[in-house]
Amino acid sequence: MRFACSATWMPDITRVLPLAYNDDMEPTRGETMETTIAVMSSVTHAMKGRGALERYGIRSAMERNKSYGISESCAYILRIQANPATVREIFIREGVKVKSFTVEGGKG
Amino acid sequence: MIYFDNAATSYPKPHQVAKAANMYFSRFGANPGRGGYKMSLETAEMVYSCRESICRLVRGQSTDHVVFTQNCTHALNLAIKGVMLGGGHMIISDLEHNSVARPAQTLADQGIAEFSIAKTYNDDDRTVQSFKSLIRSDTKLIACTHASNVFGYVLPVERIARVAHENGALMLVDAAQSAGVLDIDVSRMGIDFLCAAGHKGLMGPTGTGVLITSKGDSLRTIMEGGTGSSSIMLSQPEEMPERMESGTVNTLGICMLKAGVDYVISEGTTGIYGHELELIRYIYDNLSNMKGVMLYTGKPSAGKYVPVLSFNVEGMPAEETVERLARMNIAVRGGLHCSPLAHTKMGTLKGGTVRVSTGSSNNFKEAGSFCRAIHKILLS
Repeated sequence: MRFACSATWMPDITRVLPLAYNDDMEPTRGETMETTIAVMSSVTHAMKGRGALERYGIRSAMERNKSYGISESCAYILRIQANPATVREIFIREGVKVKSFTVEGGKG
Repeated sequence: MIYFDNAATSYPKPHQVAKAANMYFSRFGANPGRGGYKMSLETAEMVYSCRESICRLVRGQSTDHVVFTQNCTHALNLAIKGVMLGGGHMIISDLEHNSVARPAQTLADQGIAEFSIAKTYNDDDRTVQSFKSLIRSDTKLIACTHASNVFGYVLPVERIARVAHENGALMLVDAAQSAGVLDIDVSRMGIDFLCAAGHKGLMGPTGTGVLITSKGDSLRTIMEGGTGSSSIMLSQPEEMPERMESGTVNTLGICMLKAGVDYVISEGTTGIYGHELELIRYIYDNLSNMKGVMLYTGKPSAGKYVPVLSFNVEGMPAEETVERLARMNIAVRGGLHCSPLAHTKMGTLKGGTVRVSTGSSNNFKEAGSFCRAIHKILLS
C-alpha cells in the first residue's frame, strides 16, 4: 500500500491511535504486524521524526532510501514499528515533514 | 596575554570545544546527510544534536528552524535578503553593525528595497517610539541589534518586535553580542529571525553561525545547490533547514559549536553574564576615576548593557592606545568596529574608540592589570 502525504490532508489529531505493539515491540495477538516505511523530506526531518516517535514510545531506524522510487531519490527513510495512521498523526502533530509512506508486513 | 577582545571572538574556548575537535577527526569525518553508512549517519546525528542544543538555549520551537551558516553576517544576509529581495521597506537602528547596514544599503543601491534608520535612546520608550514613527505601509522588516557591539547598549527588542508585528512586519534580531550572554527566548520575545555568531558567546570556533527562524519556508534563497535531498529536482527544496544550507555544512565547526553551546547551557547565561558584567563594571568604575579617560556610556547595568565598553584616552588616537596595550600584552580592539552608524551617533566616527569586552574566563586580576596599564599610558 502506498499513499502520498498531502499538505492539505488534515486528520483528526486530537488523539493518537493505539499501537499494534506491546511494550516489548512485539505485535499484540491478532493485530496487524506492520512496518511503516516513511520517506522523509530530509535528514533533519528523519531525525526529528525519529525523536518524535521515541517520545511516543515507538522505535524506528533511519537509513538511506534504497528502493522507493527515483522521485524520492537522495532521501532518508524511517523504518517504523507502528501502523502508518499512528505515525502520520504523530508526524503532523510534531511538524515532521514526510514525502510518502509505504507499509510492509502482514498479519501477526 | 590578557584577552579582552571577546566581542570580536571569545577566547579561550572551553576545553570541551578542543576535545570536540579531536572527536570530529576520529568519529565524524564523513559528509552528513549524504550517505547511508555508519559514519555518515553518526555525523548527521551530531549535526542534529547541535541543532537541538541551540534550540534548547534560545527556546527555539523546532530543530528544523536552526540553519547553520558561516557566521552571523551570513545569517543576517540570508534573512534580510530572503525577506527584502521582493522589495519594500525595512527599518534598522542607528547602532547597527555593517553586517546589517551594508545588506540594507546594497538593496537600496540596487533599487530593490528602501530602509530607514531609527534613532536609539537611553530611554526605551523613546527608542520604541522611534521605530514606530518610521513604520510605513510597505515595511516588511525591522532588523536591529540586540546589543551594540561598540557601546554594549541593549535594545528593547521584545517591545520593538511588538511594533513590527502590530504593523504586519517581521522582526530580525542581530544577536552577535548577546547569544550565550543574555537570556533569549525567541518565541516569548517575538523574534522571527535570530542571527548569531557561533564563535562569540556560543563559544564555538570561527566559521560558524546560526539563523534561527520559524519563517524559513517563506524566505527567498540567495544561494542554491546540493542539499542531500530531493536531488532529482532542479529547483531548490522547500524543506528547512536544508533549503538554506546548500553545500556541505561545516561539520568540524558544528561539532565544536555543539560543545560550546552545551558549555553555555551547563554554566547558564545568568552566571556567565553576571561574571562578565561585574568585570566590565569594575573596569568602568576605575576608568571613570581616571582623569584623561573619556567614557561614552553610563555605568554598565544588568539588562541594559552587555559586557562591552568603549573609551578613549584624551588626545590619543584609539589605535595608538590599542597598540600600547598590545605592547603590554593586553588584547583589545580599536577603530570603528565595523559600526560607523554607532560611532556617528556617539560622535566618535573620526578616530573610533578603544573597546574592552570581557569573557567568561577573565578575572579581576586581569581587570586590575588592564586598569593599571591605562593608568600607565595616561602618565606617559
